[in-house]
Amino acid sequence: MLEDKLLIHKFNRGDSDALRRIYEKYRNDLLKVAAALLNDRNGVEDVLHDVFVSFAQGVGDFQLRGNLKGYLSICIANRARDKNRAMQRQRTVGLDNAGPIRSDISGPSHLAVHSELSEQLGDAMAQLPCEQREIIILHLQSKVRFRQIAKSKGVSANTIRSRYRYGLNKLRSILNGELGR
Amino acid sequence: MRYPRNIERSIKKSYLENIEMSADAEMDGRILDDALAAMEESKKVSPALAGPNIRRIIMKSPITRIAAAAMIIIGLGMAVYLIDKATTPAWAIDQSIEAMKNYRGIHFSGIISMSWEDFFNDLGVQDLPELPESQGKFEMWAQADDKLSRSSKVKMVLPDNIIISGRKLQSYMQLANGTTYDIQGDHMKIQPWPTSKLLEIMKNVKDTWTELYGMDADTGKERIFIKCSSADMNKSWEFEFDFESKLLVRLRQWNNNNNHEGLPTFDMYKIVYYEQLPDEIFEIDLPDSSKIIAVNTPLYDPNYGMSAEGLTQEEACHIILTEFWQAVSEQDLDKIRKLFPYSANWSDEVLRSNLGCDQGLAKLLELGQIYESKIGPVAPCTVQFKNEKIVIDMIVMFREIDGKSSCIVHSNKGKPRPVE
Repeated sequence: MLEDKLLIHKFNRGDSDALRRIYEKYRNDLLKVAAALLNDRNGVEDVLHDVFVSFAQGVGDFQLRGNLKGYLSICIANRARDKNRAMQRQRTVGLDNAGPIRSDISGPSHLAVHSELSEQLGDAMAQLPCEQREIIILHLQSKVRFRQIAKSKGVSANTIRSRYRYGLNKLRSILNGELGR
Repeated sequence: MRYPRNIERSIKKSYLENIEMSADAEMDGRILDDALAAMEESKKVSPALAGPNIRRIIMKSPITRIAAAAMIIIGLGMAVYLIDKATTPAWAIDQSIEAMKNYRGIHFSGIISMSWEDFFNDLGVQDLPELPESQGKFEMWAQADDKLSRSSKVKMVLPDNIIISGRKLQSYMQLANGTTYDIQGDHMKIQPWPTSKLLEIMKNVKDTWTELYGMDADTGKERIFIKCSSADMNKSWEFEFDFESKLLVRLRQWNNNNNHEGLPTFDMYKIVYYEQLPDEIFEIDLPDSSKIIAVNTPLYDPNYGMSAEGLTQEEACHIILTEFWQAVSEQDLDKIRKLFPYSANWSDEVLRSNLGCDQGLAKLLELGQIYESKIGPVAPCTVQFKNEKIVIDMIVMFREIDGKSSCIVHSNKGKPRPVE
């Protein structure tokens, strides 16, 4: 945490090495978050790109509240949500058919999800409402606290905690339903 | 196939860990090139790459100075060879005082040996569970005040996971089970500040002064050892300085003993220096209000606060915060103390200073949407000070005393922030 404070301090003074270090330190985790949240994994690089360009534009007066990894992960989640919505708008003809979007596009060669359970979980995650999926991924992959997610969304931590719990319950029921067939 | 019971673990192990991601050099190049270009563009249009505003405005939480800049770590080898002072260049304590004056943040690692019972009894903290009374390792972070005369903030992690976080007006002591003592008053502090004020005092006890020169066997670094004591203060000390950097690298202090007898009360065997420590280091994760025990403060005194009978929490928050800011605006100190009991024992001067009365009149412009915290509802207050608007999240605490509902202004949550 102290290293992040120091990096932010240097970054705010315009130190490009600090920006490079932040990118190298967190890019792999952030790629995972983006891959887990995007309906089309071809957009992973775009999301990471947009988040870092936007972050870099904040040089000079960037103020860190919470931890840096959590902050960047939330930015990735926001971008991923926007991208998913944009794609949905492109694809949707009538709202009557709107529903959770499942990934039907296989990812690039460097992305792969293994095992039957993994695939089932991936499919089940894709059926969750995006707000629940985001919270689950942010909390479990990036270890972002409910409090930090809540702040970013302007709701209470209890609301976030509830959405997380609903998401897990829904996953359970989706998976149990599939297994029961 | 049976579906695993622990779904969180399954998501982590069977899904997230199986997402194989590896950024390649080309991707890195594309993203970093664009990010660095964006950074350069932003630097042009925003030449004043200043850090965050540093102002003290409100209440007990000063605005953070985020400047954890340079850091120096001086390790300590245990084996030391004494060398002849005549063969080494001269060292003077003033050189060390000068060398350390730029470092206001210090992290100590050490061993503590003292009776906590007396210490906490003096603070009025009663009915404590068993606390360590003999030796134990501790970590301490401390930030000096502007004059380098004492600490302005301290945090200690003691044996048995007891955490103490102290500021000038208020301290918390948190036990491993989460029970937290909220202690009002200026109790938890380091005074005199060990790298300047204390050394200044040391210059006056030269009659007991023993000075030795040595070399750290592991690092080959030259060291200076000072042993001294003060009969008036009934204390004794051992200091160890690094010759090259002049920094203090070890400090041992005996309280109530000017003969270096027995175990030192504090043996700080590792010292890390910072220009400034981030404010977050001194924060403490507060539990639910049911686990917070107020000491030296009338938080639960029915004569303080405001009746909330027949009001919703939202209505009560609006009324008490409007009245509170009105009182700040009018510098009605009695009313401020009544609504905001933490300030009950503050002097007029401290109260004015900490509420920003000396920054010009405050005016409440807007109350934002209320959200929950562990202590109670929080209302973002947009307040106009002399030349600026800031948002301060204010916590209102509700109480049931003798079957009657009332509320007080508890504190601000987090730091005030400028209106974007």
